[in-house]
Amino acid sequence: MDEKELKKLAQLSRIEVGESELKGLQKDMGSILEYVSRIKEAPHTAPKDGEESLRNVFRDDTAPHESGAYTEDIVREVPKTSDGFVRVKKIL
Amino acid sequence: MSIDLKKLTITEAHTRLAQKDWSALELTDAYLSVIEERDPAIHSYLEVFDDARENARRADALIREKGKDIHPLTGIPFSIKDNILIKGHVASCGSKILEKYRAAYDATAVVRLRDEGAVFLGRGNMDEFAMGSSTERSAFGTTKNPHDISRAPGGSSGGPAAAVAMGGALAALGSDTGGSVRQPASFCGIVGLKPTYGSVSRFGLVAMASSLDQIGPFAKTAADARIIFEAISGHDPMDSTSLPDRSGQKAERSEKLTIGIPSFMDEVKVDDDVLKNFEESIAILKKMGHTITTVVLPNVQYSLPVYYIIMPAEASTNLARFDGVRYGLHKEGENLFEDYTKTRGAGFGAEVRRRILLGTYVLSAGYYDAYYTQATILRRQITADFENVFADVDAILTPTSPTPAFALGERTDDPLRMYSSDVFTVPANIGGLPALSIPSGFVKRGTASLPVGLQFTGAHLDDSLLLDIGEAFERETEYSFIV
Repeated sequence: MDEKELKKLAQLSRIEVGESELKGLQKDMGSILEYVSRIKEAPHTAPKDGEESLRNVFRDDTAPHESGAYTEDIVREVPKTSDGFVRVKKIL
Repeated sequence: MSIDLKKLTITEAHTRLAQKDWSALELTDAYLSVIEERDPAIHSYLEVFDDARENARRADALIREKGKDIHPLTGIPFSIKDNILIKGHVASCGSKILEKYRAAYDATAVVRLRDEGAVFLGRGNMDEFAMGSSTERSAFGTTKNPHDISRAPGGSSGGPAAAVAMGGALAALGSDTGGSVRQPASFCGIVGLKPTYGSVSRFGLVAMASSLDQIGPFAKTAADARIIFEAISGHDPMDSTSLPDRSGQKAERSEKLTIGIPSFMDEVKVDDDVLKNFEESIAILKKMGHTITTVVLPNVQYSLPVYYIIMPAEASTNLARFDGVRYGLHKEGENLFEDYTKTRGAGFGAEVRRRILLGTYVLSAGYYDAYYTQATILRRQITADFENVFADVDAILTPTSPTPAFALGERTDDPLRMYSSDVFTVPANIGGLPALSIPSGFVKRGTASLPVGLQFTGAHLDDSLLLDIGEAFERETEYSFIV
């Protein structure tokens, strides 16, 4: 993985990576990717997508809690708030 | 009054509490004084709760009310891993990004323990976001192995394991994504159970890799681990992957079992002393009347590479929520994007960043099929291989880890070497299977005696059978638990 690719990846991951860390990260990522690439040697005879037993599970939309019951507990942990709302910088 | 904690089990403590020989407060105080005396050197706790004694008084009220009918966990002091939420208490996940985060709700496992009157002593140290095998990745200092403080207690649940091993808690809750309960249990000489995926609710466990994570108990005996497992397991509507309550246990099996040793053990470099101990354990199991056989799991050698694709992929997704907006650390940037990158750059440690980057890579366009899709296909294949083998054997046996506790600092510069300590534990997470680590003796390193563990992996929902085997094995081998 070259430096440009790593920087792009850091940006996609929303993580600031210092210049001094890049070399070490490049080496570690390289050796981990080389290791996990072993799976390409494996014969894959398993069912392809669509044949597995995984399914999505939704909770029934019943017995809603009283509006605002948890607001105080949750907003207490928000770094920046304004009148009980979460405050963020302008996006546009 | 002095309470000897060395050989104390939950079963014994329950009897003494029910008979009113001790009060829950006296028992909690006994543990708090061990923590005060020993934890400065071990650092198994990130915080000792100021309401621990209040918990104990509540347990004493339950004992007064119910007498001998109290639950076996009433008044039992626990260490709780720092990624399991207790409302009102900090849950930092060993990370700077959540250093001051106070949980807004309780984990289901915590509610179930509290309902039975368990006492929470404090939060157990861990590798940041449970990413590590030594507790050296905690942002708040390394936990030391109570058997030899120059060595790692294992990880990522090293704090809770070390707390139990040093007599600083009678039991603990950890979480196991690739071995994070079993490997520290093995390094610290105690019992650790990774339950069947879905049998214990993950609600209130801070997610690392959701399809692999499972809360599990630490205890000194298999019987104690069973008491905790039975209390915390069961369906929870708040966890969509939680299994329905069991309509009945699997059919009783004969006491003479068939136990398989996977042939891939030959391909793994196992420490000579650990191997010798393993062979001694096999001899004990044979003497107990079990049949030992070799089994072939054709794809199991791919478990660790599959794990290091699926786990970072899920972790990179799960940890996207730590953005400095809704909770935890916030660092100011020029714009919202910079708020994110600065917050996450400052808040996450090296291993967490590495895994997020890796996960983002294997999920990105162009690499997704080669890595993530291929890993999920292999995962299904490995799971099917296990199902085939469990048609012939009752359990699969390996050492828990290929080595005893390694020296602190020995593996921190080499991620792959650190990852290799989970080679025997990861397959159970890949397959969603239960696995139990129990102490199988000690090996010598210099003047230190280091514990090693034996791992039994079972078929889906065979948690109880594993605990049966563990209890029977313990009866054959008397190890002293505590150092």
